[in-house]
Amino acid sequence: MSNHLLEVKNLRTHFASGGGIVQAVRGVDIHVDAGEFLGIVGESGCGKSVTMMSIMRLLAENAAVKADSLVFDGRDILSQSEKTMRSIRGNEIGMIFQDPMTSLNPLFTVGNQMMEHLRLHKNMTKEQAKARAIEMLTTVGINEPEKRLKQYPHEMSGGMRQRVMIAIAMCCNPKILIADEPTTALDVTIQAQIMELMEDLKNNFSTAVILITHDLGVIARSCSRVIVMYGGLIMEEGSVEQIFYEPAHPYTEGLLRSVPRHGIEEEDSESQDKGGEAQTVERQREKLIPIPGSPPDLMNPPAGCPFAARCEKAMKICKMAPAQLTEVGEGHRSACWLLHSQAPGKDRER
Amino acid sequence: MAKFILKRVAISVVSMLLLITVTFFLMHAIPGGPFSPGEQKDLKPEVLEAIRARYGLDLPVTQQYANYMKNLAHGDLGVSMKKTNYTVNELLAGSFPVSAQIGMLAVVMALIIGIPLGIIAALKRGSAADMVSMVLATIGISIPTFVIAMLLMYLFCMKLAWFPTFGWGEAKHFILPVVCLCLAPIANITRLIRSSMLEVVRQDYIRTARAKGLSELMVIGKHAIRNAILPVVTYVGPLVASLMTGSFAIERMFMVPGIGRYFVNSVSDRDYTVIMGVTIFYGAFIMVCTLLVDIAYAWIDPRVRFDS
Repeated sequence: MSNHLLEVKNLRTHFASGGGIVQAVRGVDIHVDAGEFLGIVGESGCGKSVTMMSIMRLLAENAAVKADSLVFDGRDILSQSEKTMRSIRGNEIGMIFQDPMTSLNPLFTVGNQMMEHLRLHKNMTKEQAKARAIEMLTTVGINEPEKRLKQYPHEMSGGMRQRVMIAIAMCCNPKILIADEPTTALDVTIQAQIMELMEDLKNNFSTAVILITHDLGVIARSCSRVIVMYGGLIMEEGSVEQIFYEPAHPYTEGLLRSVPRHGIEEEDSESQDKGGEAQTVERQREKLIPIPGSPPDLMNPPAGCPFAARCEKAMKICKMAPAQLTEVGEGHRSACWLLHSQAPGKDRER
Repeated sequence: MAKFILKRVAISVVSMLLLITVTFFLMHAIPGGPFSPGEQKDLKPEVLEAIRARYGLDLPVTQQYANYMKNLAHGDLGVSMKKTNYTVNELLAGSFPVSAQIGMLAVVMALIIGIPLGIIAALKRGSAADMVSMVLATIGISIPTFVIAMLLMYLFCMKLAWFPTFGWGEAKHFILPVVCLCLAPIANITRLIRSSMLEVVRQDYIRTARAKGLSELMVIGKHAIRNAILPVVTYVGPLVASLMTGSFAIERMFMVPGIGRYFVNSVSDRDYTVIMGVTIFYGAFIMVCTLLVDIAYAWIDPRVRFDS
């Protein structure tokens, strides 16, 4: 059928909660190829993490996951036994999470937490697992790995803990590494180091990486392909260049307008040094434009495009039915009614 | 670690001195005494005077305190003023092992039953098992032990005649007191474990453990339990101290010759030396238990070890 490493078609994940059914993911198609660096971007609650947890089948019992197909490496994930799933998790799909401060068990040494699944998945002896753990810690750039193995998480900094998390996720040589906001809880310099590390690992281990983030800067830096999610749906999908230079969805445009561009800020500070205040005021700064409004309530999702309520270009049809993902370039698809052949102003089309 | 223990022992010694001093002066501040005219109506005032002088009660309180502390430093708790021919040391040595036996059994029972019950309740949250254990826990906490003791006596001693109502020395005498003593702790431990377990299974590191492909047995049995057990460790220290030093009500009802009765009787008898002896013993016991809990805590949770 396909030779994608991971292929998800029409994934729908719903949660039963006290007040009703939350439709967190409402029909998402994702595919990942071996060795690819895919970014998934969107604001909090858009369903990006839930999508990943659905793929791992790690959601709580109140979640219902349905999909037309969910195939990883030739196997249908949804029909696998829990035992098979356990042999996939941590072994063939590694995962790292947002907050390294809480993602490691405080009561066990780093070595213990690195070795337990090595011994489980790879049937290693204690010595082999230890050797592998030391090797992985060295790979992720941790000094004195033998000493670190005996330490507890609280003896390490946030950046170091995230390195350990990456080492844990990578030590079984997974085919995919899912990184759920790996840099959000870290400060900027550490963020850059962690991203660098993930790029290196991707290149050295030929592991596919799915990077979930709400930080477009991180996406621009590392990813080759980007998926933009909103309200449990994919809004736009394309290469990094297509998404950043030719966004075809008003939501993507809005996202791009709301992020600072570092180049311009630097120029500003230079002019401040030279010309004093008057000049600075005159100088046109690039304004950050927030997207007004807030994301839709997924307990009662809108009938139309989830972004319609906040979209300045919204038309009547936008509130009535969701737009289908339409091809706008090679590998570039966008779910927007403006791309429809009958939409007004089709001249904006490329 | 050694430094930590040393520091704790030093603090305990200071606390003990405070406890002894406060108890001693409070006790003497209460009007009346073991040989006051109101207590011993059949003795002549001169005789009472002589007895008081015999026990050193005619001296100023500060002098009595100094004497008491001097004897205490030699491990001598004095002689009982009401139970003739007994020293306080003998009273404690005779009764404590009895209370300790049933107390320790009750603690062990409480842990063996309470911990699994709480874990099951948390993992099967909202299920029938959860409901049943929570109802039992609430009952265990809210019904006083002496009521339970009477109900059990009525059922097992009178109706079913499985156990004797009182007596001491054989296994059959142990069972009902131990059951009575462990019910409330079981209830408390179940609730503690349940709530901490519910908290722990939501933590990120549990998600990490699952994402590593560990079995549910490993996730719960290794990663969750060790974190969830911490509040119970804190609770067990004082529990051990209070159960092992006996319960007045339970020991009274089942005629257990334990230490519990001295807590109450010594006060109503104004038996100064026994009051002091029991207080010191209980205080020291609690401090040792608390110290053991802190050591256990540091052993379980490495974060505690490194805090200065």
